[in-house]
Amino acid sequence: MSAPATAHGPSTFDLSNTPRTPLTRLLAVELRKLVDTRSGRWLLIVMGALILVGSAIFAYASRNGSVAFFDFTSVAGGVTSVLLPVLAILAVTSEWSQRTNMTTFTLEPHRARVVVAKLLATIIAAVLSIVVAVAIGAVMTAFAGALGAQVDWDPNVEGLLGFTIVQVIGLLVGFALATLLLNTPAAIVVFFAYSFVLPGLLAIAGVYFDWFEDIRPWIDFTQAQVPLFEGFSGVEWGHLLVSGLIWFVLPLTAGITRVLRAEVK
Amino acid sequence: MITVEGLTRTYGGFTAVNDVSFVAQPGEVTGFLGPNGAGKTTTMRILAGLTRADRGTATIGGHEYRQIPNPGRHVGVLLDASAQHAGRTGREVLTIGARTMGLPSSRVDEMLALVSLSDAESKRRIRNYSLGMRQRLGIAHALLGDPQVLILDEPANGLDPAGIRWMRGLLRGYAERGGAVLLSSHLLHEVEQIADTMLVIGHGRIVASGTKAELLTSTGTFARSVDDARLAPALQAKGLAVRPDGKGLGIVVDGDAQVIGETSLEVGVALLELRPADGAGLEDLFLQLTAETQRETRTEGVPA
Repeated sequence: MSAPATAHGPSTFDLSNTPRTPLTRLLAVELRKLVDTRSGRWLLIVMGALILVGSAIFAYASRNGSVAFFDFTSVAGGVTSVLLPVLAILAVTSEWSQRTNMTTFTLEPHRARVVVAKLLATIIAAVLSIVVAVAIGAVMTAFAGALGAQVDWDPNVEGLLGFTIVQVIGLLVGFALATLLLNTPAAIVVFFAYSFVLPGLLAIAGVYFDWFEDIRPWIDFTQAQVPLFEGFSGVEWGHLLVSGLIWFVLPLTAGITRVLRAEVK
Repeated sequence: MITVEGLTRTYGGFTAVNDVSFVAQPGEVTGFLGPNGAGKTTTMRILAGLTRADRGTATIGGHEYRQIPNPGRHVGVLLDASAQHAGRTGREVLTIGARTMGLPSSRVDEMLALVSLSDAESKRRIRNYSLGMRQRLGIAHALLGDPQVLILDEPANGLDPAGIRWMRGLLRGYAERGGAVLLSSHLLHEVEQIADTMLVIGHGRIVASGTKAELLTSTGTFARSVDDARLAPALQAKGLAVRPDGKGLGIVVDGDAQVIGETSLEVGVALLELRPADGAGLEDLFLQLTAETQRETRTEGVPA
């Protein structure tokens, strides 16, 4: 006991010596929560293992041909584009399914700060995962070279940057859907529908309806990200911003509104 | 320390908390007693900023919970000991709390020792914890930030009698050092053992409050007649409150012997017994006050 020294001590709090919890501390805690459960830890381990095995197979298969360092990003991308959004979704929804949000929001009643800390934590985890994936790619490029493949070490910085941004965007969409749905299976299903089913549907709709083909670039977020690898024209920036508004900003805004208002039980 | 005024919360057509007002003083353990669904948890959730009130105010130490920076350093909250990630260890749960509040990790060991969770137990995952262990962990978590106020929802639930005795000692010591404790229970004997002051809630309303001694003071007159079912409405028609005595023997009337005698004469129901009501045991009081919120119709002689 610190403040009240006597029975019937002061009945009001002196808050002048209590600073609010800094965001950096919330961020550190959220990073810790990503790895302190078996599910979180295994998700990262499986992701690393899949990238390692996939890259090794790719390197071995290329032993008689040529291989570029940058090619390994597409192997890694096959794994991270699926698992990073799941990581982001779980970071949000596990608090609701395990009901830890009661404790989390009691220790930080300004829930938007918790959401921001979670968002930053998942982005950091994504960037670190990609760094690891690229490192694996480098090792496997050397491995392919040792097996006799012709090796192209061009780092393709722009491409790597584009790859990283695309991975982070996928994670952001997963995160936004998670805050909106607050339910693990629902968020994962909707995310995969968005990620794997929707682009095809939009393309088909574009074929059948001419008018739709004109607006499709503005709502197809996946398509709008393609120039990230190749460079943007002016209108393509517009496509990215508008479709990003639809698939990230709107759900995240609605999701944060929901998190702020939701009854925590 | 805790001040609640005119608190009301409705869910659709259901009023979970209805114009609730009370104060919990520093240096006291305030027991919040009521049957399940009476509004205890909703009130506590509003206090901890997890649920919004429709009307009224709830302040702790003069501040709304949301306005308190780093609130864990001022208010210890345990609302549901089972609301923890099943895959985390007990120690990890406390570590997360300590990190969030900016406390050294030595605090985690202190709290584990305080609630008698051994080192081996603290490294087990919570899915393997008994409810009693979860409650101990929850109390450790509430005390982490060395708060001046504790809000505990059903903390004795799942504790064995020795555990309840331990908790009584812990909370008594805490209150003696000047802390304020608000603790809820649906079991009378738990609150009776631990609390100095009591609030009894039923149907979302505070139906009685005061010290144990105050609540034990009897009021009213006990009457037994050949036909209580005829006598009671006649008394009620005169504006007198009538309630069952809680033992199934007769009725307790908020009126003196004379008016009951006159009424029985008027309606022609012979009285068999007429005397001041017993100093009601708290159990009777609790059952009477919350009778209408009970789901079961009580059978004679079976205490809840």
